[in-house]
Amino acid sequence: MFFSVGRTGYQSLQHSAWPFEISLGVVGLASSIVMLLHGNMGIWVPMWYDEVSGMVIMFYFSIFILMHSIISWWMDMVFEGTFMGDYTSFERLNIRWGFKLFVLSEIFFFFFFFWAWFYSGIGEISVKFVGKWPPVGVKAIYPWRVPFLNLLLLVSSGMFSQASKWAVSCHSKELDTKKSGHYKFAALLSMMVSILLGLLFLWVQSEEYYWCSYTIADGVFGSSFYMLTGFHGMHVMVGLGFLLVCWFRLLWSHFSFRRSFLGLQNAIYYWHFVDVVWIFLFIFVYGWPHKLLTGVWLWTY
Amino acid sequence: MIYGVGVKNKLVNLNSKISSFSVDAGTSYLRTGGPSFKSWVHRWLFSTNHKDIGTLYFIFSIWAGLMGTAFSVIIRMELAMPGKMLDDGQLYNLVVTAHGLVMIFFLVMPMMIGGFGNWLIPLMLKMPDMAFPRMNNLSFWLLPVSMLLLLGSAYVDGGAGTGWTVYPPLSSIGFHSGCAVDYVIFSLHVGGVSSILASINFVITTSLMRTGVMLILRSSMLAWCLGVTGFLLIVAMPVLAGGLTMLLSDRHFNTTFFDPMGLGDPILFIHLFWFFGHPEVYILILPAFGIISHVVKAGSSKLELFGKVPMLHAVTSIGFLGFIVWGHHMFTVGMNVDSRAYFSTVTFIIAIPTGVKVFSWIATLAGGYIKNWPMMYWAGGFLFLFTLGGLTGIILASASLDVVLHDTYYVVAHFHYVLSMGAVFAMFAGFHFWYPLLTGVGMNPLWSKSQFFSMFLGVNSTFFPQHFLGMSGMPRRVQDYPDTMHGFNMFSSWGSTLSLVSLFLFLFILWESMLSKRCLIFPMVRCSESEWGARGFPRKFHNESQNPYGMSFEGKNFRRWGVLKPYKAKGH
Repeated sequence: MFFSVGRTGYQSLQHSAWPFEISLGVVGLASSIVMLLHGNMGIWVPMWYDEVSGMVIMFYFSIFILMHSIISWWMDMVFEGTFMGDYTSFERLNIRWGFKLFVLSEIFFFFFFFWAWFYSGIGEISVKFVGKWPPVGVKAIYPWRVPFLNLLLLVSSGMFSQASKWAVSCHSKELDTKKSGHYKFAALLSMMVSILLGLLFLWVQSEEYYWCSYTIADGVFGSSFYMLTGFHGMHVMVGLGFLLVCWFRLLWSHFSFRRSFLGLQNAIYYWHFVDVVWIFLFIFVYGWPHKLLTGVWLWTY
Repeated sequence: MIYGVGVKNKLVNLNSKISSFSVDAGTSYLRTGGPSFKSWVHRWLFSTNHKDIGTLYFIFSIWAGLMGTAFSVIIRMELAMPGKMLDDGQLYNLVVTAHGLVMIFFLVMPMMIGGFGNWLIPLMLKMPDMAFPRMNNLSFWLLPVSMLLLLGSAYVDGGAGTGWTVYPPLSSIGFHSGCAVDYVIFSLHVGGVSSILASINFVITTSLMRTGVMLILRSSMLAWCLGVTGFLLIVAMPVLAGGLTMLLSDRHFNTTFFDPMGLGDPILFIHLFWFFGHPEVYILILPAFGIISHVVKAGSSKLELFGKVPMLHAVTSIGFLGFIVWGHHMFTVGMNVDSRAYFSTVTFIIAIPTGVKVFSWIATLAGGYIKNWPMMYWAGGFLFLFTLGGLTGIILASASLDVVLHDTYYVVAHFHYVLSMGAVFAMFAGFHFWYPLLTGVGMNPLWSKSQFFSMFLGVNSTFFPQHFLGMSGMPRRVQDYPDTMHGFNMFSSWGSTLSLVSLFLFLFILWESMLSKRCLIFPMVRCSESEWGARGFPRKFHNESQNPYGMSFEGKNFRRWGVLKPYKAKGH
């Protein structure tokens, strides 16, 4: 990885094996999932105790390959950003906006799941003077208990992560070492609170899943509900992982020099995106079936 | 272009590319002391160089184009005579599906965005590479994976005979109970990820990596078109991903998004698919617009394109309007008449910016010295035939007419005119224009022009009769048809054979150019083509090691900037 910043101010990247390895992992993952969905296709691998499903082995192996390549890639990025000092302001601009575009694509991913929710909710089959939303037999969750708690958890988590960003910004600019250390401690503390609140959200949500009266198989209401909240939960997990990595990088002083905390900033953008999706979920997925805000104007019953 | 006489091994020795690259093509040669397996792997599997990745995309897409053509020839062979040739209707449906998916996702998109885009954008913007070179490589290597999954689906459980639109309930577990459709779903997922990452790369490169004086309205046409295309992809691809995820969960996880028994609706899938599908077809054609702009400008010996800024705005408005017209693919699903009226209207409106572009191209040609190069033949063919295809599109945009013509061969004729004669002709034009830039050698111009004529005859013979077939009611995706429709079908199949032979001729021309090595001495383009502004073709492995320095006069102001001023916000 030498000659890594050209005189152009952009990275002059050397060869990287990770894209190729990711593609190998992806092909293994896709094929193993398809075959697992169709009952292992009779591929049994003999072990000393019993036969093991071949596709499960392939699945875990592909996950391992993918995790190895993805984490190595991100590790390379961390090395390039910190130890090698590759990330000039030009490069940081690119990375920041590139990440925002990625979040935009995620927003549209959620957008269409919401579309499906509204289509089923106010569409011909379910409601137009024919049915009810939620469908008869489905007891909608009362929004002002658990979902509202989740809303408070995520919103406060977002606020704490923003606070940690401010602290890091001050920390990286402060010249007095003692004050700088105080800022770093504050950043670590608020980031840890943010992560803990996020973990609490996940725990509460999983409890709600456990106790919920309807399942994913309960018609289009259940399908859309669990798809929306399930994908949101997955994004919360990914966001928490990102925040956790940022916490450790903060601990190891990656954000303490060069006035650059790109990784932290991206993590917080992602976390805010997750938060905003939850707000929409709260209003339209939990609130609306309970006629929380709308009642009449969306032409529900 | 002026080419050197083809001497066997002296003027340009393609093998000497390796030795002249020994300092350049990655440090792997330095480490291994010369070419070796390891250096090959480092250069071609682990690449972070936009030219190498562009070359990989070209090779991949040409291969896929041949495969897609093979599928299309099978279709035309089936339809050449009444009665069935293939015993199995499912196999025919599978060939139709594979033809569509391969041509769209593995020929047009990789060649235009990955091939031309990767090679030319850093050269046009005078930047060292794309914004994210490693991610560029990832976008490429996910494509063979996607193709493998798609082709694999054809071999298992009867294959996916759903059409490229994969509508439920035909694609649901009840009617395609094997794993073929699951493979197609994953193939499209992987292809979607590849496209989204590539388009993030393109949008960032074209919008942020420009010299300070290269204001956004001064970008080159191809850069702008690819930036807008990238934005369309970022917004539209996740919608396809979501729809396919819903289809997968309907098939395996007991959801009922598209199953009326659970209050779901197959029409939801149609909405979601075409919300992606319509921007997708603009994604296929916008880079072609960019390529044609460059080809027409260079081929008319002009310094600038006619009305470039209105052209840029036209591209942006086509991109934006493309998001709100998806209903014109669904006029027959039982939509409200007011909705149909709305979608018709907005679809008609898209013709306006497209017309601005076509007239601007014609105006660029006017009064110029039109070069007698093969690329101009292809560009002229594009202008005429794409306009014809657009006109049939206007017919289909009218909801009343579309109710009669939906799912008939009229639609097939329309989109093959705009794709097989729009996008593909633009790809040929760009390929003929920039081939010497990529390789440093030239294709025989006389043979190229004859290949153009035979391809022109071939594709027109294939698709023009299909207008009449559609108007007399022949439906799409059928294996057999009433005997009265035999004449036009036979003519169309002869045309497809001619297109196939033209393609063979093209492959021969390509091969012969590599063999004869007529090297490029002077690219006879004017100074406003920045990708040609270098000494020696093919271009070197790395671009310039310094950023460009630009100057511009704007009325009383004189700007003198290098690269974008470093961003001065806090803590970044």
